[in-house]
Amino acid sequence: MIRAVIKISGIHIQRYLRIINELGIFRVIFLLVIVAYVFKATLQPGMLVLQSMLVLSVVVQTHFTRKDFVLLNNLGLNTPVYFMLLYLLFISPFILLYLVWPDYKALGILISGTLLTTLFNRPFRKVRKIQLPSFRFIPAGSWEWRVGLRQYFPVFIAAYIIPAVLYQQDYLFAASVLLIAITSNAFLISHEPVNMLVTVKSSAVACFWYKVYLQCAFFTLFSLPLLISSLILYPEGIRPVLLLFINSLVVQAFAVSLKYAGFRPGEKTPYNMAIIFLLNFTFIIPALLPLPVIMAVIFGRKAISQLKLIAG
Amino acid sequence: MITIQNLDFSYGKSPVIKNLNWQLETGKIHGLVGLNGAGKSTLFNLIAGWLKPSNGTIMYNEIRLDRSICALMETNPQFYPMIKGQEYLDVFKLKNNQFDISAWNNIFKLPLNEVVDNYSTGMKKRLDLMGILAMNREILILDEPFNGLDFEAVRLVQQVLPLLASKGKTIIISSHIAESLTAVCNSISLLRNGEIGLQIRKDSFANLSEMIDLHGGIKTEDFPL
Repeated sequence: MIRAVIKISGIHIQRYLRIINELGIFRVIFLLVIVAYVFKATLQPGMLVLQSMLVLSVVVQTHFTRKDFVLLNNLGLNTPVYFMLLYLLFISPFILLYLVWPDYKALGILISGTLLTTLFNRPFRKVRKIQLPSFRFIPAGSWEWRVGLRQYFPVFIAAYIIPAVLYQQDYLFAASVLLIAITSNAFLISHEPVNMLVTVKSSAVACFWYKVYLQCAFFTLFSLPLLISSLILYPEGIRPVLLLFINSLVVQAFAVSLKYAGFRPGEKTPYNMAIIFLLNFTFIIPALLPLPVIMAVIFGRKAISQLKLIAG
Repeated sequence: MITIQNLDFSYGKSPVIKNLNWQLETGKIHGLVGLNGAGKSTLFNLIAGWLKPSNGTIMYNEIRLDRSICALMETNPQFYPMIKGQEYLDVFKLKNNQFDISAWNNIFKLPLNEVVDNYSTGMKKRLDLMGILAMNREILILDEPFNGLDFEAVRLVQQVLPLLASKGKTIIISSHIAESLTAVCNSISLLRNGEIGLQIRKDSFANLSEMIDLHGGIKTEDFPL
């Protein structure tokens, strides 16, 4: 068992190195900066618990999205003991850190959470068999919104209900616009097959601009009720809300550019969300406001050339 | 006529297609067989214009073949996650409003109101094929369309392809199972070592296995038994 764990750990490490290699130097540096910042920020008394929870969340996510169920079953390794050894090996630097520090609360959370996770070693059915809503009013070419609304419609409902109920809190309108912006950005992490893309428009440039238009149009459409309500209830505070809206609108265009600049038909690029998420907050520092515009232009050009290459 | 001349393609330094020449009559069904990794999918990607050859030409009726007249069905269909079958086909209706989804679905029998993630492999394949049909392109390139299909669906594909050919479509299909091709194809070619090693017409299909064996296939005496 231990030999198998060491062997498979080696394979996983090589696999992760290959994935990192695929990401490219820019994304790797960006991710390293984020990881280093998070690590440094949580390396303080009282913050190690948060750090252990973050590490645990990575373990949980990795465990429940793994695709080696059949392989491990065939090898007789789909057992809690195997996963315990494997995960303990990977989190051992953190276990050592919490022992040396010492922070037994963080240690307890990490070890107990990991051990609990290993008890669930059957794959979950991801999709419910119940009839899910369709949003037929959205044009067929905007599959991101048709699918995204189906998956995240409770988020949109919450984005309207919370400010409606707590309308005395003026910041909630802006927070809801931000929530809609980030949620609609997340619609863009899945990439469609080439056949769908070539059917929408006859040229790559037209296709790209059509996608930018749809993304911005629907974001505006769904943010408009919140903007209007904010304008009516708090006209004196409309400036930051408008600033946020315009920034989010540019980030929508950037998100489309980023998706097609690294277009991978049939795949997902969740790591794109790290940079998109941060750019949604540039409205807080006005000096950073041109950043999403500059990035949208840079990645927009890349997106068009990538689409020309893939879709003609 | 589709005429492929002196086609070359490499992935990095490994050549996959080497000085390939192939002629395909329009309005007919052409099969392509070859070992795993022989380059069938690469060749299909080159014909469909998804890859650019390093050398050579692909002509369609004496003009350079344009990717806009080709539709390519991949071996493993990819779908946008959580999309419904109906929504997927709606996208193809944008360019071909004449495509009657419900009439075709009477034949393909798919739960179009269900998200594609819940479909079986065969259902995904059928949905992908419906999308290809909805594109209404002159050249249909189907990479292993019979993979993962149940016997009813195989029969369905075998019935629909000759009908499409009779309407003037040129169909190129690959399969690892020669028998599934002999039922529908007008010609079958063998891809070996990056080139077309053999092209057999329908009247010689009875001798297909022997001809492939003669052309460098594994012989019974090669087995270490």
